[in-house]
Amino acid sequence: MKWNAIFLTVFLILGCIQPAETPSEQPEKKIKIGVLIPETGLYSAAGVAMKNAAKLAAKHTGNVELVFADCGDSPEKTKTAFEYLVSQNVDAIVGAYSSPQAMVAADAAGENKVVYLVSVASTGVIEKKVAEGNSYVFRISYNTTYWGVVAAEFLKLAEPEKYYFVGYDPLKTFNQGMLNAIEEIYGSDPEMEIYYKSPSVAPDDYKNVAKLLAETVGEKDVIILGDPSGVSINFLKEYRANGGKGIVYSVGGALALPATLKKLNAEYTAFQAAALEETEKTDMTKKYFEEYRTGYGEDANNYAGLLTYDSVLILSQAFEKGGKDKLIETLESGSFKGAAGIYSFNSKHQALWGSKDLKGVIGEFIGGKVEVLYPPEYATSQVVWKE
Amino acid sequence: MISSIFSAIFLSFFASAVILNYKVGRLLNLSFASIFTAGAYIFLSVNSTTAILLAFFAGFAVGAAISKITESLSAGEATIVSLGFGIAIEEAIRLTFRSSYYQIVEASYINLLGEAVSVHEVWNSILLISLLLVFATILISRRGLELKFVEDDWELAEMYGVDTSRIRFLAIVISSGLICVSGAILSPTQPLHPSMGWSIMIVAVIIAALATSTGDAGLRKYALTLPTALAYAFILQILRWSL
Repeated sequence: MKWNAIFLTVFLILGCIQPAETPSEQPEKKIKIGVLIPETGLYSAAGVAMKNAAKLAAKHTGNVELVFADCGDSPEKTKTAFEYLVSQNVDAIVGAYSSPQAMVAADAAGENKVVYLVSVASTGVIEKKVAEGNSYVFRISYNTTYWGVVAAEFLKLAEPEKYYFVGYDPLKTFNQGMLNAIEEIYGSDPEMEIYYKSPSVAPDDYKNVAKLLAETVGEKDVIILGDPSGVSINFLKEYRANGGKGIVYSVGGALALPATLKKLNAEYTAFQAAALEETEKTDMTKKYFEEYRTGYGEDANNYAGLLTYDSVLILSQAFEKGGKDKLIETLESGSFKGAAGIYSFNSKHQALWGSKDLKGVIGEFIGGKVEVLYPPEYATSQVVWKE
Repeated sequence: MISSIFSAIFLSFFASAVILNYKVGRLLNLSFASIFTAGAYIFLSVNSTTAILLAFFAGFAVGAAISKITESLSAGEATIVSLGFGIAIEEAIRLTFRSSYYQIVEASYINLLGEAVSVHEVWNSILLISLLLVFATILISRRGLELKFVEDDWELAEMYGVDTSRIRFLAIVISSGLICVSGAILSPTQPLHPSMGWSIMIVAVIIAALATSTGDAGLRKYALTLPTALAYAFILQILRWSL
């Protein structure tokens, strides 16, 4: 009985312990940045990229000390992780992954009066919170509208006969916000709007949707796939295995990584990215992609990882320009260089994506490599359709 | 349609393993989620034939450890221990295969009645149907009566000289080994990540709960997992198109 109790305790501890890096004593001329990383749960693959990218940014800036906390995949865990970082006396916090996590972190930032940079999530609630007076929150990632803007740019370039919209049911709010922007900018509605459910609810739903579309979509049609999760990989495999035609445009995430597209041999798959190795927007772009590959032995992530890298870079520059006490004022008025471009913020603290110096990128996987389709100044190819 | 039937067979097997562990092992074995994931990663790491054997022994070993440790615990405590095992295995996989990418194993498809179906799903279904038939044969044999006796009343079975510990041990280790084998065989059908087994676990527990809610009689509750899994899939389909 005694041994059983010991084993029970050990396994409970194993289940509860989250690795946390102990901060060393803070040097005078450094900014201490807390990083919310999804090290466990659904987004843990992206979490690896985010952690690596943050470390790389700290190495490149030289004036940053990092403290990591695991925010998992839930708002509750994010709140706990945020409070932990605050207890470590960080000067600012970046990271978290999903919109529900970012919303909780934004509230915690306001309560604790700590600057928080949203580096992945897209929900419009963040801008609303800033408009309502939470001036501690800034977002460097796209808002939902910009996801739609980039997808609409792709449709303009591709000029398909029809387009179809496939969303992921757990992200329906994000998907519908994105689709509204597409309809507004592109000027026409999708031929079909359909959502597949999470495998936790319906394990085969993505297969059914893939098969239905494989029978319906034509050779000169486009599927806009609004799912950044790993299920999108399954969807694409099933769609192509069932003879699905046309081009699949992914909003990013799991299907926007060149290494994954190579493994899947996913020809005629277009995707968006904040930057690609081929789009040298600033002198940090190449540095990020090259040193990430050298340092971590795999290709760099081009959204969650890259924007975490840029978040740390932005805070480092804001600290250099105005010091710790004037981070908000400096961020509001300045411009900052990152690997994805030059960032500045509007009155709702949203990074000005779509401006001259900060544009999303569209790539297409063709002939075993990535061709850049957008922005025009970096384009290496036009949209390629299967002959 | 064909693919949905194969998925239902797999879920039926998974749910049967959950029921068996609960009825005989007296625990809701949550470690199955990570044992399944471990099988998939074993397939990623070694060649396919070795992977199947290795997966069975890995699952067997984890099952043996869980069986031994939870031997004299209550159902609640044993379930928590199995969850601890699940999380520990997930963390071990996360640390071993640290990557910002989903791991992908190449899949091949065949055409069945006009539908593209993964070859691995077909193999997995053939294996699981065979195992379910073997299990059904055991259940209607003398050993099956012992098993049913243990399921119905553990203490009474012990009084009548049934070796309940051995039956419990075998139920947990064999089901764990087979779940791990299933993970290995199905590895090419999905992108691999350390948490991938939990969504399957959730659906399997739902199906197990629905199947057992109709009654507790011997073979029936296991047999009912297949129509329940099929009905679950079709009801969700109907809801999709009617909403």
